[in-house]
Amino acid sequence: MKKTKVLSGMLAGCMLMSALTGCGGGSSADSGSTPSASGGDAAATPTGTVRIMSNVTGGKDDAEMKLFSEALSKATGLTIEIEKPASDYNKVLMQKLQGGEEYDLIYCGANEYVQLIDQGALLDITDRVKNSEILSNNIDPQEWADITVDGKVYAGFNKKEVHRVVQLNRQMLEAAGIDYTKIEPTLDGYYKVFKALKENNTTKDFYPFNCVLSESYDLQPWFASAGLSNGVREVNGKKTCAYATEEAIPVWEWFKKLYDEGLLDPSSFVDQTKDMRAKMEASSLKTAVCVDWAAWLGLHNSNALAGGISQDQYEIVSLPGTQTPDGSYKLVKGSASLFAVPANAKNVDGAIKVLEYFATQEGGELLSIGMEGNDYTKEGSAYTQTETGKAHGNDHGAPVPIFKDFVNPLGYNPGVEEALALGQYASVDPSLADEDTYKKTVGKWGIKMVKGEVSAADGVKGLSDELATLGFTDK
Amino acid sequence: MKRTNRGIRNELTAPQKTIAWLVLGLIFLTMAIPMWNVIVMSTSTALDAAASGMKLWWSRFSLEGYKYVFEVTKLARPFLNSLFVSTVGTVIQVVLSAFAGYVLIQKELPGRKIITSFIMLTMMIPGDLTLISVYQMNKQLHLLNSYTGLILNGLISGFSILLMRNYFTSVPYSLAESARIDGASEFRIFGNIYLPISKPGLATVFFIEFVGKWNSIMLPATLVTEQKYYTLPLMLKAMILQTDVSQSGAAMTPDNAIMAAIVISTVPLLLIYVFAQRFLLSGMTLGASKE
Amino acid sequence: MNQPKTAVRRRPGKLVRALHKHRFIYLMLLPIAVYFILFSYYPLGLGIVSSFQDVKLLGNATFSGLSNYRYVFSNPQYSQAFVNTLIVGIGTFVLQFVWGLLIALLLNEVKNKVAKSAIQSVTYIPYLLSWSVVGGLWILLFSPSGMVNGFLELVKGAEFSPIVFMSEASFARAIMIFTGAWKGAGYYAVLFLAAIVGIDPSIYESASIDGASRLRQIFQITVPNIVPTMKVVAMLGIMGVMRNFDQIFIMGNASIYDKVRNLLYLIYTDGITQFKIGPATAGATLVLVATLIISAVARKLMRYDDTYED
Repeated sequence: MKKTKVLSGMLAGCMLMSALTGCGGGSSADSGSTPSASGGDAAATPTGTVRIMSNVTGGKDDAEMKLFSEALSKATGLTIEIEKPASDYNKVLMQKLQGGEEYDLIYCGANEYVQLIDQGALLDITDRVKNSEILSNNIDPQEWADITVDGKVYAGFNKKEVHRVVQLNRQMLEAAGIDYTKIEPTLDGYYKVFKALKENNTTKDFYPFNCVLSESYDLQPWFASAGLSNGVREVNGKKTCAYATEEAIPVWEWFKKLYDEGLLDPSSFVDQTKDMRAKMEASSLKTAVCVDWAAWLGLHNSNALAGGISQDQYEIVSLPGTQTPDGSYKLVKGSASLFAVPANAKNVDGAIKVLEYFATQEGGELLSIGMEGNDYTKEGSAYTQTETGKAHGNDHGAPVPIFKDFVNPLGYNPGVEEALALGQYASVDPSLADEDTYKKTVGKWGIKMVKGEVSAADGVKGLSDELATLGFTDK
Repeated sequence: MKRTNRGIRNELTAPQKTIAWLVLGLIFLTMAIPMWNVIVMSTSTALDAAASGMKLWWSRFSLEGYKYVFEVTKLARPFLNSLFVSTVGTVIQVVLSAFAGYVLIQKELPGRKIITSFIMLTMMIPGDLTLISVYQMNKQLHLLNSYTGLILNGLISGFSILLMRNYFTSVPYSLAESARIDGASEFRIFGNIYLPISKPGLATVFFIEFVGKWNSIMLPATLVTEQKYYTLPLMLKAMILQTDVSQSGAAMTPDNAIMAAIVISTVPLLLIYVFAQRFLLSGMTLGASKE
Repeated sequence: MNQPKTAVRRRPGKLVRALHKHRFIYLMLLPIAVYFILFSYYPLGLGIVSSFQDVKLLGNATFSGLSNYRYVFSNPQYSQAFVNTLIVGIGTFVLQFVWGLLIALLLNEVKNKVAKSAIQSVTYIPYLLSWSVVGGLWILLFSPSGMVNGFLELVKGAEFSPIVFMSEASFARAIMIFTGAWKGAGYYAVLFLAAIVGIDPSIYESASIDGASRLRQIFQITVPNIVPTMKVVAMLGIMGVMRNFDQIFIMGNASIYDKVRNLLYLIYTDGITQFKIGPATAGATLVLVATLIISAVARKLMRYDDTYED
């Protein structure tokens, strides 16, 4: 009893002490940020430096990162300084901004973008974008519309986002007597495909279909059949999740039927995208159909080719999923990855210039195939990839650059062009501040319904209630 | 006074022994199999390593994963960084923790309990609480992107101090008292009596703390944005969680390379462990025979 | 340093004399004290201050009273996470403690040096690996085509249909506790073993002469002799009960979060990934306070301080 007293006394003492030192520290941090703000006037002359906080790798090590910033500096006439934390990017970004660091561009995903705007941490660059010929002409207007928040734009693009397509193993389909171009784009059509695949493959843990239920965007090509879109959207002035409405019931029941009949891999409840991909690989062949990014289809194919497996033995092809009642398709496009301009940026002109460069053919080449001399050599218009370049897999920040007419001089992986062509059906999900919790809530109820722990009718009710309690939707 | 363990000693009965071996064997297997899986995957081809499920034997042996981590991921520099920072940090820590542990066993020391609580409280602070201020402090002290910063942050843990204290308490207090009466200075008592007897304790603290530093992620992530200072666990985390890969997918590190990186990051720990283990078993007979 | 000296010359009080006597001892403590004040208490103080503030990413923070705490308390997820933290945390600690002790006691009976060293090393390896590795392995082992289901099928026959363990809410906590203890057991075993080999062999010898069986010796000599170490390990373990993040981050999934999502994980998803510094620090302060309370209770229950009283 004496000891607890000592301990609690100790705690109180420590708290007091830390509060005191804390206040001291707080004020010194404040004074630290004020002079640098006014110091901006003094430092107005060296306009040539742009500081970037990034989470995408331009180069794999110190030397290459230097090459990358040099190439970027040379092309823009600016001095580019890039900082990249090795991991925990969001945390470090938060620490840096709170710590009074000043950047001209910061990398962020679509959800962080919304939060940063919420916090007042970003600068409105709408007019500068409008006044820039490159930014307005070289980029699809829809891209800008997707990142416009309350009529304002705060960022430019790191790369172009691709979409998730239905991916199918061509050989398995053919073995089951199915031509993938002739699959009927309805839930029932796919059900028959899965059924045939299952009957044709007796491998013990083979399942024709794998679908990561907790990644709700994987569900989109199937919910399209009921005309429903992923995410939280406003319907009649009320925030609504279409997957939690009565119209969604038949689709959930379709999933349940697949599960009950052993067509849906039961690991779908727990698998992460990574596991699902492993099952699609030529080395596993544990599943025949899944939904994944277009780029991944190319990687499956090129991995197999690199492993000495020809396209006659293993080829993944793509389809847009089920047809909506009005005869179209619905696919989910990746949410944007952006370079935003922080509210305390010193060199906004420089930042815009960098964003412009990223939206050109040359900038796109730097971000995808890399640095000339290091990743590839160029003779006339012929590009030859070096060994280093091959190892980098055409990714120096943007595998598919944002420039709308970008031509990849080295070409894409097999199958990717076909999948990219389905982009016409893709749209981006509305941003959510806490997308993670949203997806997990949908996943949780989805699993309950598919497993049969609750009926689909009760499930959508439960999902809808929980989303409302968590504040995602309106009651 | 017999000095060996082997003198007169009763043994477990045969059935008791069998049960002991069975239990140990089971524990051994649950722990060995997953480790074996890592080794096999690291020495498979990228394609085989990507296959789903557990792999306990090779279909094709290949060292391309190891080649990948050195040539593409460039793991050599982070590896050496981690080795340097962890070794220097742990040596300093063991010395300072031994000091502090010794302080805590002084029975008549005024304020001993407060000092103990002062140390223990530091072990309870959740990292989320100090997230922002740790960065600001390191910025003020110019410790960002520096080896000094990497060594100083997380240098000392209350944990190793408490462990040292615990080992020191097993040294009979009378030994120190009689030395004190003979006029030995505190530093001599500490250096000539306590430290030699506590070698196993020092070894234990050394390798436990080395492991902690070797695996540390929170603080290095905060401190370092220049690639030349990257440490191994930062790279490993980025590889495993694929944080480097933007959402819509680009090439990512193949599984065999990830497993190779895991193996590489574990080897130094195993070596230190084997070393410490020897110390642990031989060191103690010395200590015991002093009595 | 001056003050005690002058005091000594006058009329040395008991305390002053003790202080003077231990001046070298205090000197030994100095580097540690400086370190902790700078690297632990100073950031801690700032952190607690920000829990009472409305902190923006850019610009100055303003005091906002208890609003961050109100936010935390009004969110039902936090109370659920608190319960999960305690159940999984304490469960893991207890199992890991028993498991580690078992390994240490059994290993001490193994004579074959190679076997002993091999088992000890292997049981220790999981502790050396990060959760991203260990978690991934267990997810595989528990998968429908994984080893656990394979074993069950062997036992129950072909009729058995695989269980998706990681999606069963009823297994969720047990799995977290088991894998958590699995990872740390070898580490506790090392701490116990270090204490066991330190026991004076002559105690065993005289017991053997008195005819005590080995099993009795284990319970009447080995175990009582490592009680002080057990107390330290228990104290350290209990202080760590609230600090589990990586395991849940790696092994959690949508269907089991309600059972396993813990405070640090929630602080991460609800605070840090959304740049909400105020609520995150408020949540973390509450974790600190809860840890203090739990440790104080544990100290009392274990009579931890008695060990070092005299």
